[in-house]
Amino acid sequence: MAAPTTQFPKVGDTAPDFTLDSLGGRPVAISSYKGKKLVVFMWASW
Amino acid sequence: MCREQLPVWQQFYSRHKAQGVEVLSVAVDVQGPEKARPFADKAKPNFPTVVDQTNLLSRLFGFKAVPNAIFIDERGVIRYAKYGGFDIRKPEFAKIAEQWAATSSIEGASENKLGGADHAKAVALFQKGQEHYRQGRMGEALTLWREAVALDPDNYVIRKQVWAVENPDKFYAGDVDYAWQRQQMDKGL
Repeated sequence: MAAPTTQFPKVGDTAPDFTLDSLGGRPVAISSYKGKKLVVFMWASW
Repeated sequence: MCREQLPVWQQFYSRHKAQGVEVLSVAVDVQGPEKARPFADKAKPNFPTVVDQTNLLSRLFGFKAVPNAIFIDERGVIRYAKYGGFDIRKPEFAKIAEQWAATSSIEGASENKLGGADHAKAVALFQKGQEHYRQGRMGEALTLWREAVALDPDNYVIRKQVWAVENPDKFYAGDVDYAWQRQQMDKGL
């Protein structure tokens, strides 16, 4: 039996909502950006 | 070095904020906010930086490397995504960001290598390891993380975080030591 392929969000899909804490300690949710043109950029100290 | 991009993103943001553009910076780091803070403090951006300590976004979006950029429109729809190699200091990517700010649409396909059969298992192992790490059980954390790397060798989000935890001097004592990283890869570590 084939393993199910996980569906990752693609261009054209609604972005999944997520909430992460900011450096200032406040939680920030992606859904709070509705109505704006958002760029999420991910980086690392490593 | 993707940690040096924040000042350039801040310049982008200050130019385009009035056009309804928002920027969210995500530091992917099991070691937490204190690793990201020096770079955010230096750049002093007006956009927030959040910290992903459990590889949550790698689980949700399927990526195996950073730096990444995802462009989401006013309705919450993804219009473009590039995982790994999105460096706004490079002209081709600065152009994409500018196009986004001006028109809300981006030409050009974004081809990404995502997921794979072992991606979910590797992220799950990583997250279990992170729970040990958080409670100070470094040995158990590293054992699970090494298992995750073995399972998903192309997953540089996991591999490089393990390197950084075990070898902070190669990452945080000045510039990142890329020659050392190449040696690690040659040795299969």
